[in-house]
Amino acid sequence: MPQHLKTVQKEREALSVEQLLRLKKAEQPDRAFWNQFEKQMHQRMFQEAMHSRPSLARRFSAALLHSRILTLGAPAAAALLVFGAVLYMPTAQGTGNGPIIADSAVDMVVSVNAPALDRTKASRESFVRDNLQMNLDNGRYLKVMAAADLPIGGAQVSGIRYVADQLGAHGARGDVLFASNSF
Amino acid sequence: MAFTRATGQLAGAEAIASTQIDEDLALVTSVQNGDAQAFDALMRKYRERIYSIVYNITANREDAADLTQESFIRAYTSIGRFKGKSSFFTWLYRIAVNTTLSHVKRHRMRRFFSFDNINEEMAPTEIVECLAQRHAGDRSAGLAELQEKLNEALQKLSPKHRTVVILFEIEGLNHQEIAQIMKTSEGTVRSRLHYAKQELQSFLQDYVK
Repeated sequence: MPQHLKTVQKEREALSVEQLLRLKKAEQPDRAFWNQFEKQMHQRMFQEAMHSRPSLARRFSAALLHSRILTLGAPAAAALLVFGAVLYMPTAQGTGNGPIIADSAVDMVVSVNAPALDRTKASRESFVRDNLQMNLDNGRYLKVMAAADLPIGGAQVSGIRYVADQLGAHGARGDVLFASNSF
Repeated sequence: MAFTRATGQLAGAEAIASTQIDEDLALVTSVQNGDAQAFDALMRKYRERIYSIVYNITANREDAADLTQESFIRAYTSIGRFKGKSSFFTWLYRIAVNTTLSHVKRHRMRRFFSFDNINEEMAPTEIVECLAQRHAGDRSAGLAELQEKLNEALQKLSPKHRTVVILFEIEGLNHQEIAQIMKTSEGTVRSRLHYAKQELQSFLQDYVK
């Protein structure tokens, strides 16, 4: 091809910087990315709120559960009416693993930070037991979310295990009980 | 007639923008009063746009996801300080840009690309046609190559120049909005934009006029 025709063809093929940059708009993550994003986002916001302002965490977990109740429909909503109190327990060192938020609806959250509570281990355990009993009397639990580093239970028993044991000890009326740090 | 129609369209666009700002303010007030669900609504509304800015500045999808989340968390924890002097999106964009530029500064020695896939249906027609001629009809290969070159070129710009180009050319913000977000003058925005485009023109000379 003659040189001048090559030049004409090249000019036809050329684009402006502005046109090229429009391609960047087509770079997009897929739907699965956003599902994962939202899950991680809720988890991080909850953890952040727990470590900075417990009242924010309470609002956030309540809002999260409320939104799920709305999408689950009436039968599930009935089962979830028992969303229990968020029990704020003081952490041993104030750090460590944060609470884990479930990727499906939970009925009760047992977590860290309770400045109002007296700090002896026995009274904290009694507080958890009483609250579990109180909420069990009002309904049934399907899932309990607990922080791994709850400063209750013995040296060999994690906070999660302690809560699970207490639920079992209180008789869960055959409901599905699930306490884990990896919902 | 054309003038009337254009004016009408502008008035319509302004009305939509104004409604959006009012909606955002109502949601922000709800969040400030303790309604965390309202923040979820704001997050869903802006997450794609915030992610897009962060992704285009970092050219790394994992970092972008992380920094987008961090930006929203910062916005959530400091929303009590939002007084409505600027629109919520300007305030949120500023948080995202600052968070991202700090990250880029901290990790300036680390250059690791990780791209999102190109949605070929969204690729501009003129680019697709141009690439089809160059790559004998292999559209995907051409798009992938251009994507890499474009991202490399953007990464050669300084973070501030890159941010201005991204906000103007990709996000469609105007000079005034960019100046507010980057806390600088409109003149600086214009000059950065001009310089950045010249640089891009030179980096992408195989493709541009």
